This record gives sequence, structure tokens and C-alpha cells, in this order.
Amino acid sequence: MRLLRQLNAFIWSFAETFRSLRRGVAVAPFAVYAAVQLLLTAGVVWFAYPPMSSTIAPALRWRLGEAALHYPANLFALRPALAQADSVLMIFLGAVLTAAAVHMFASFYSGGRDGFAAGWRAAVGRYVPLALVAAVLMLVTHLVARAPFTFTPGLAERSPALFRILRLGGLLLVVVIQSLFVYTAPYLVLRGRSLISAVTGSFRLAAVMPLTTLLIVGIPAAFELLPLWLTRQSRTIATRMAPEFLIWIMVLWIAVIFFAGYFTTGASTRMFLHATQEEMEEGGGA
Amino acid sequence: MKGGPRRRELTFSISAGARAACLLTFLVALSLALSSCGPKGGLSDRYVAEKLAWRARTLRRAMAENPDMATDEMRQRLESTYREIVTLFPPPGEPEGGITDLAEDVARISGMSRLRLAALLEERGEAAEARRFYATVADSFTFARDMSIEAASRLAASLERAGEYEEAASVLWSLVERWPPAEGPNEPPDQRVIGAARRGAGDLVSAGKAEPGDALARARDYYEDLVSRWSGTDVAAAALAAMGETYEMQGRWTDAVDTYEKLDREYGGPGTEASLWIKLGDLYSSGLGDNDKAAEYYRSVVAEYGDTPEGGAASISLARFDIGAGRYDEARSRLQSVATEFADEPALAATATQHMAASLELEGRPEDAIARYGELSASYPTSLYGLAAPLRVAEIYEEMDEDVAYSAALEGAAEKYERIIRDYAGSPAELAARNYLITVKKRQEEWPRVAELLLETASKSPEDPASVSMMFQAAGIYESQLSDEEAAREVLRAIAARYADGPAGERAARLLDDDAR
Repeated sequence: MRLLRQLNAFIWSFAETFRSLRRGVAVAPFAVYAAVQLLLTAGVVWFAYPPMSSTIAPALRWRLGEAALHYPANLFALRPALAQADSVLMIFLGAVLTAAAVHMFASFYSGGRDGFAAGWRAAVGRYVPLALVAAVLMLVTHLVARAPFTFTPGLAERSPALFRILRLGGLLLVVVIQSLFVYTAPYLVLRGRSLISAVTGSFRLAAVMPLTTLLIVGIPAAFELLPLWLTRQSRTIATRMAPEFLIWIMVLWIAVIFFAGYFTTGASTRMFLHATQEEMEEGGGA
Repeated sequence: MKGGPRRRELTFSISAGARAACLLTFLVALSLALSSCGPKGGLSDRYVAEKLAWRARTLRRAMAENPDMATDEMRQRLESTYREIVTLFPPPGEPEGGITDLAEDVARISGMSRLRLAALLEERGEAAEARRFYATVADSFTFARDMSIEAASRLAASLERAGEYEEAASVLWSLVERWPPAEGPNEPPDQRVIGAARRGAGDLVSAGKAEPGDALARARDYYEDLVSRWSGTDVAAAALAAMGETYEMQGRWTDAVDTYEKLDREYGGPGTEASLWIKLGDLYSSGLGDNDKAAEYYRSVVAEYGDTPEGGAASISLARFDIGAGRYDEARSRLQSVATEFADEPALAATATQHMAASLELEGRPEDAIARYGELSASYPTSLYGLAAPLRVAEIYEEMDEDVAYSAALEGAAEKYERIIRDYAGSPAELAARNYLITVKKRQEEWPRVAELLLETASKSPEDPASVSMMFQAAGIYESQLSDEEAAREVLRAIAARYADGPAGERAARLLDDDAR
């Protein structure tokens, strides 16, 4: 596809997703995910009180050490705790919720109005491949994002400029990898393809319209940079204002994840339907 | 009959609401079951304590970073936060099986808050309540050795400030009896414990409860015991040093020298040698009058540690001998090299410059001495000798009968002291400059300003016994120099009100009564 057409397609897919948001389409799956994240945040904030003291507290100690069980260290630990929990949640819950949202978006774009229950049923039917794809994607993105720092310890102190370049490069690479997988869920849920076929189909579709796909994934993801930057200023914020401000930063992050997820899924489903429709028409015509 | 007899089928239809209720009940039961597994209360107590402590710490840091911006409202907030911690978390007592980690964390916060609250109360003059907090921490937080020792030490200091020497001595001796001088043979000695015996002895003497010899002998018994029981450790070395100091306090110079030489022989090393040799040099010189032996020690320091501050101090001591022997050029050459080599050690450089100026005075070269004092005052304005220099210049002119120069020097000195008071407000230099300015203004016979300065300076540290004396001086100046009896009475009334419970207040009241009659 020509670049201008791809840009046009990106704007159109986002406009369509805006239209769906106004009608409140597919809000429920993302709201459920955000609610779970908020619950986890609340759990880390109030880890010292029952029942969190016997559930969240041991988990915090296990994952982040004894230091995380002190005030305000627990608030500094919010970001790593949520990031770690997110890795598991995304595989076991996020994948199926995203797939449910894909079904609901597809129904809306096709003139229907399937609810959350219908979306959930459609997604649960493909739970295993969805979870597998999410697990592979999570593994690959973690490897890409962390490998340079794991293999070059102390890089931040030795060469801050190179460290920043590698970090930015890692983020861009993560966006590219997510772009390659972004059409897998629609292939699995809407077209009933097998796991391998869905993955290769997604790669092929992303290759056909690379700019559109990268923008669909990258633009919403870019909004995460603000809470990410804020969390890097945790110490200053806690000292200058109050450690409790970190809770609001996490709430902001969860809200950004909510909207980023909504727009990426909505726009990618729109593009998927459009592209596969064209394919089918071309196939039919042929 | 259509359909025949109908069998009533018993069906259980669980409605969606009932399902939700079952799920909720299950979740609540699960939560309760899980909550009963973990430690109860401890974690949340610690969390609350840490949260309050953080709040207090943030406030305290803000006040320390910007003392000018610290308001009474901030101080009150800080105090109420400490009081909240103290109320919520009482002393832990001595639970069976020892204190748990969580309880210990909470107790540490509680104890530290008591110490900080006590310091705040002392600052505000509420020493009695502060001492209650110190006593609680000293006696009830013994699981935290450092905190308990600190509290006892502060309690004794507070009692000493209040003139309650006997009680202070009792606290200090309890401290010595309760705590070993170090946490282990390889741990560093705790000077608060080791020094407590000597301090306690001094307090008993001040209280009039013991003769100096008896009190210091008791302290020495303790140190001798430490030297034998902790032989070969840093504690034994510290005990020997403390024993030497008790001999010094009694003026038993030979015993002091023997003790320090034993310390040097048995425990001396590169870390302590230089300062120990200087001490021995000082004792030989000023105590035993043996300048040759003293010079030997100083020379050893210069030879071995010439590039350290101790080396500089030893050079100055040798120069002092040269000055005493009239070898002024030799002395000044030595002093000049100290001033040059230790330019970044203001105390040393200022002392060397002062000695150069003094040697010029002794040699009969007052103009050169004045130039040196000027240099001293310009380069090290807030050092001990730098502060004294402007007044000394005026005194030299007075000795030379140079009246015009004397008046100009006094004027110049007053300006310098006023500038230091302004630029170094709140520092020890400000207080010293105030005292010098009072002397200058007395010489200038500017009595209203003298009285004003005395009262201002007294108000800076009302707890200081010197402040009372200053206020009486101010009253005397109003009465005798300025013939302003009403102002004098006002000052006396202020003394009577401020020190109502002490001898100063009684004296002021008596003077007011006499005056009324």
C-alpha cells in the first residue's frame, strides 16, 4: 500500500474507533482489565491490612523483597509490582478480554451490537491459542526490552547516552513486534484460523500495511511515555509533594492503558476487517 | 384427561442473584481464612508508624533546609505528629520470648519520635517534659542499645544544664552499669558509655556530693576494670585515654603522662599516634614544665606526620618555644610555612598568623604586627583569632598612645563585628562578634548601644547562665551610666519574670524591692 493511503487508513480506523467509543462499544472488556489493575494497585497500597496482609504482602516480599513492605517503599514498588502482575494478567486474562473486544468491535463495524457475554463466549472458545500468542508476545517483548541491559550491566553509569538510545530503541522494537502480532486475535476469533495460520496471517497483513499498523500500535502506546516518565521521578515527587501522589500516577497509567488498549484493538479490528474484506473480494473476483 | 397426572418435579433453580450471593460469601470466607494466616496487627501498625514518621521527617527536613521559612505552625505540626506516634505506640515493654521484628521496627520509630519530641520540647524550654521522654526511652527501649544510650546521655545533659548534677550523675552511672562499652570485642568503643563515668564523676563533684579525688577515683576504677577485661581491644585503648583525662582533671600530670605513654606503647598506631604525641608534648610542656621532652614529641609529629593537620599543630607548638626563647625569625619562618601549607585548614592557618603577629609585637614591631592582624582579620574573619584581631589592633594603638588611630581602629573594629553579626547570624561567630562588639562599644563609651547589645545577646540564648549576667550588666548600665532608673527596673522586672524560679529571679526581685524602699 502506498504511504499516503496507509496514513489515510490509519486516520480512518481511528475515526471509526472514536465513533465506537461514543456508542460505548467494547468498553466492558477493557473496564474489567482496568478494574483488576486498580484492585491490584489498591492491594499494594493497603498491603498491610487484612486480607491483603496475607495475600499481597507475601507476594510483594517474594517478588520485590522485604523492603517493599515498608512505607513509602510500597508506593515506589507500585510500578514494578503492577508491571510484573501485568505480565501474568495479560496472558491469562488480557488475551481473552482483548479477543472479546475484537469480537464486539467486529460486530459493531458490521452493523450488529454483540454484548460482552457474546464476545467472552467467542474468545473463551479460542482461549488456548490466544493465551499462547500472548505468552510468546510477552516473552519476546521482555527479551527485547531487557536484553541490552541484562548483558551490559552498569551501562547507565558508564554511558548514559548509549543507555538512553538503547532504551528508546528497545521501545521502538517492542512496538514493531506488537505490530506484527496485532492481527492474530482477529484471525483467531473472527476467522477461526489455527494458531500458526493466525500468526502468519497477522505478519503478512502487518507487512502489507506496515505504516498503518505501526501507527495503530505506536500512537496509543506513546501516551504511556507520560506516566512512565512520571514514575521515573517517583523519589522527587514523593519528597517534594507526598508519596500518595504515586497512587494517582498509577491510576493515570491504568487509564492510559485502558484507552491505548481500546484504540489499538478497535483500530486494528477495523483495519483487519477492511483488509480481509478486500482480500476476500479480490479472492472472490479471481 | 389431557396429559395424565402431573408429576410435580422438584427443581432447584438457582437464580443469578443467589449465585452472586454464593460467590460473594465464598470470597468473604476466603478473605477471612487468608487474613487469619498472616501476622495480625504488626504489619499495619508498622505501616501507620512509618507513614507518620515519614510525614515528620519530611517536615523536619524542610525546616532544616530553610530555617528562615520554618514557622511556628510547622513546629506545632511536627510536634503533634510526634505526639501522635508516641500516643499510638507506647513503649514495648519486655515481651516473653523477645520482641518480634515487626514490633521492634515500630518501637524504634516510637523511641526515635520520643527523642525528637523531647529535643523540640527542650528547645521550647519545656525541659521537664523532655526529660520524662528521655527517661522513658532510656529505661523502656533497652532492646535498641544505641537509642537507649543516646536517651540516657541526653537526659544527663539536660539535667546538667538545669544544674541538677546529682541526678545527672545517677543517670550516667546507671548508663555505665547497664551497658558494656562496646557491642563486642571487635566493635568500636562507645564514647557515650566510656565518657559517662568521667562525666558522672564531674557531676558528683559539681553537686557537692563527693571530693574530686574520690569521684575521679571511682571513674578510674571503672576504667582500670575495662583495661583489664577488654585487654587488647579498642575499648581498652579508649579506657586508658579516659583514665589519662581523669588524671588531667586532677592535675596529676605525671600519672597522666604515664597513662598516655602506656596507651602509646600498647595501643599506639598511625591512626592515633600524632594526636597522642601532641597531647604528651602539651602535658610535658604545660604540666611538667619539661620543654625539651615536649619538643621531642612535637618534632616526632612533624617528622612522621608533617603533612597532616597534627603536623601543622606540632609546628606551631615548636614555634611557640622559639618565640619564648626569642628566636623570632626562626619561629616566623616555621609559622609561615604552616600558614602556606595549611591554607585550607582555617583554624591552623589563623593560629599560625596570630602567632606571627604576636611574635612581631614581642619583638617590638607594632606596625608589622598590626599589618599581620589586619591580614588575619581579612582572611579568617570568623576564626577564634580572626575575631579577636580587630580589637587587638585597637589595643596596640592604645599602647602606642596613638589616640586618633586608636579611635579609628575601634570604629573599624565595630564595623567588622557588626558585619559578622549580620552575615553570620545564628552561628557561633555571631555570638563571639557580639561579645567583642560589646567590649568595643564600652571602650567607645556608647552606653545606650552597650545596653541594647547586652539585652539582644541575652535574648539569643536565655538558658545560658551568661545571659543572666548580661541582663544584670544592662540594668547596671541603665542605672549608673545612663541614669535611667525606669529602664533599669524594666530589665530587672524582665529578669524576675524570666527566671522566677531561680536565684537570678530572686536577686532581681530583691533589687527591685530595695529600690522601692
